[in-house]
Amino acid sequence: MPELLREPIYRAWKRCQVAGTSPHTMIAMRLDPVALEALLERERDLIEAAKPYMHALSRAAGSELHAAMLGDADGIVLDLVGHREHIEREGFPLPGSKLSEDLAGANGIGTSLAEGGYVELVGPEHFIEGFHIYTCQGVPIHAPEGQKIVGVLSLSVRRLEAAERVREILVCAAHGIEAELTRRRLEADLGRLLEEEHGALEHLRQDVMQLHAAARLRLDHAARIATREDPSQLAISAADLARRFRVRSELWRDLAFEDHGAPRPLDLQQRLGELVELLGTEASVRGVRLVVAAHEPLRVSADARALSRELFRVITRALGDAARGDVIELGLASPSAVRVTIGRKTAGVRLKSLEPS
Amino acid sequence: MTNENPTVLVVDDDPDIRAALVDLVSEFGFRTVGAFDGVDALARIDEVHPDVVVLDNRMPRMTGTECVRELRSRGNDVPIVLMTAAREVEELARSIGVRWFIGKPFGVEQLVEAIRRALSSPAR
Repeated sequence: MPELLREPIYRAWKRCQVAGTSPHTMIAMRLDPVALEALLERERDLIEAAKPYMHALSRAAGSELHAAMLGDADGIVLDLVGHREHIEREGFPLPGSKLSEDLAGANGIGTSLAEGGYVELVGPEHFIEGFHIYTCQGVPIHAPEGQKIVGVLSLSVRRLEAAERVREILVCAAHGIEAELTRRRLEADLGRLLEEEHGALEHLRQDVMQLHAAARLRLDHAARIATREDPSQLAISAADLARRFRVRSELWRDLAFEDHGAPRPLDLQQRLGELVELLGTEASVRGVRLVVAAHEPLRVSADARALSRELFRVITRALGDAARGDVIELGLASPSAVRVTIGRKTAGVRLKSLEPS
Repeated sequence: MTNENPTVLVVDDDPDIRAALVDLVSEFGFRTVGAFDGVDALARIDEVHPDVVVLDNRMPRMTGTECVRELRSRGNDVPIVLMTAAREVEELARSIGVRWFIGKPFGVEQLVEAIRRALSSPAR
């Protein structure tokens, strides 16, 4: 009866029917211990990155009967957090169990992967009858470089009200895990570079870590208050911090690697603002105020990495020239130049990466 | 611990971190107070006499390390838990004689564990 099913659930049921999934019994497919051990080793980064967020999610669910689950990109359970008694008594799927839709019907893990986004299945929306007592939610986790799905975070609870309470926290936790994966990759990639060029890069790295710490603590806070009041504002602010963290991480990579990218359209005013924000802590440590003059968005076509490095050097040079208490104002002078004002002195700086070759 | 509800002073210039820590640490039974940099921390320490100070390192006006040196030069031996995103956390802490430290990002449980250890140890 498609008219009774919400759109994503209808699509999931159709997929289950095409795959020949039985609504009465789940096909229990579980990896043997050797294969499971190999999988857990392979996915160690994801599991470690997700651990604190799964605990935060479990805390937010409070005393409700629940399980927070982490799955890999194929829907195989990698980790499970909740009250041990509940998990054993309810028979939640253990690590190594595969919960793809073809085997387990529409469910928080398999359907989230198949849809490529957040899903919620309330009671009888699950394809298999055995799951009808639960409300399950799932959200995919993306790789640091973008769209590729590397896993899925899911929460199963008995009571719908509990599920509603933690919905935003679940989505924010997935953002947090993605930020954690980005951090790990940055640490690994840049270890060598930091050995060689410790100064400016180390400051930037600390700045990015600071933002990540703030996002993680915000989410932790939201999880703790979830059981007694509405945590939505805190959770939203954690998601915003995680997004800013990712933007900064990308900028940091652009600055750290002396390689080139293909020209692409970007907003020069926005990029200038992002770099000023990135260097805000450095400026305040030096007792200098760094501001960007208001300007309409200015679309240019440029190698974003080369342009970021050039702008970064302009700003750091200005920071070096400024004295404690100075205000540095940066503005666009033309589509290929910026204006730097320190106190009463103004200078124009041409940007090579924006000049016609 | 000597007090029923020990006072923890949280010093961080990042308002998100400071606000989250003040709330989170209080959930573990501590009385918490915030300060926004080293200079503010020195004033708050004189006012509230905290049992432990949770101190960020990289802050404007006065860094965490400068704050610790100033405190010790005044003869104040309040236990410090240093928070930092620096890679050489341990070396940094040791260089200013701080025994308890934590690298960012961290979970609140890790921080509370460090606070408890700092409070229960006779050597500060």
